[in-house]
Amino acid sequence: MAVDRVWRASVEPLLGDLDGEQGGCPAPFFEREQKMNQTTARELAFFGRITAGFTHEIKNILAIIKESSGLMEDLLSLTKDEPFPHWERFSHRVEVIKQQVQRGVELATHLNRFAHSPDEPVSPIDLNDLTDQLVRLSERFARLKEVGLTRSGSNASIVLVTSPVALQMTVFLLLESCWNQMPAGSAMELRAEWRERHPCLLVRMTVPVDDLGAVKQHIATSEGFTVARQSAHELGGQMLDDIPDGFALLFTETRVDQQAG
Amino acid sequence: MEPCKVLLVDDEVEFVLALAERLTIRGLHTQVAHNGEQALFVLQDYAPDAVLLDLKMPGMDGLEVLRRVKKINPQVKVVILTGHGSEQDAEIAQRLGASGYLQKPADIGVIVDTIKRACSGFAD
Repeated sequence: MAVDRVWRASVEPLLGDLDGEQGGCPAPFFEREQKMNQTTARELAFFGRITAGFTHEIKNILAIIKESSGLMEDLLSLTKDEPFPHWERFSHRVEVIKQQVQRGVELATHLNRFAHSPDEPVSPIDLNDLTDQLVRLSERFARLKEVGLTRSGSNASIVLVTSPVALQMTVFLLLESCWNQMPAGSAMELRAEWRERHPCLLVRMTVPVDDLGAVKQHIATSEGFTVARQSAHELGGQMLDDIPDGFALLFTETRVDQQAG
Repeated sequence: MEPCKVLLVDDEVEFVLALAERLTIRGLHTQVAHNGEQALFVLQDYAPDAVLLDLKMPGMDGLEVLRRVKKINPQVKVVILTGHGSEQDAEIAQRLGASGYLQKPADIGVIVDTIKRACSGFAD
């Protein structure tokens, strides 16, 4: 696999050090890996800061549009008794602007939260918040594949202490591997729950064909799913493909914030 | 009864002018300032009942304006209206005596209610 090749290419030049002056201790490799991780974290944080800054500016623009259209609506209502042949059409358009501003604000808010993800390399993450966030950010990708994506809420608070970026990426990869293989007209539901005493993210699928098993087989053997499985493993989780109507990401070794739970 | 006098402070000129007009339509008396220094200058003459204040502005930021407004006149009610605020900012603003904290863009009804409650002293 491509990932494996890259890993080998980065490790092989360092293998000599393992039996060298370090007395068998692979310190240079870990130092280099640590430095790479720090560099990646800094780069992600930079990317996040710039994106978050722009989401604030987008919200400012939306606020101007909202107040300007609101003022148009106010002025329109002040002239309700005066003759204006296009009153209804005008009023309808103002309402459309209001709705679209609200949509934009919600997207900018979620994008802002997403952009702040790399602020802390490890932090507590409520899986219910995460499902809401990811569904909002992923809806468009699924919609382009003609697959519906929703979340169902859970009353239980399930808080993991892990890398927010890696966790979101893993769940996104799982969702993406599903909608890439599901036929048009399918639907997916993402839900956080406790399963076998472990935090779990459940993806349930509804497909407009008889053979859900065959669709699942395509997903489970896809490259995207393999990467998602590997990514889940690195987070201390495991991907379960024996769920009748979907997949589960079970966090067996990931730290859980018991106080929050 | 005299209408509630509100000083709106925001560097987004189009935003603050449109909002001021909407508040005026709803029976409030308004004045605008586009930065912190201007707000403190207007505060002396205008003597508002409430200040609707943005946090992130070039020059003096909203929290500093809040601190100075409260120092000049502790009776003035200050409502924060920001698109940049964090939970930490909200806590600091509350500690400095803000009567309300709203996220931009907020519903006009919510803004009017919050200002009126602040002016009538309910928010304290």
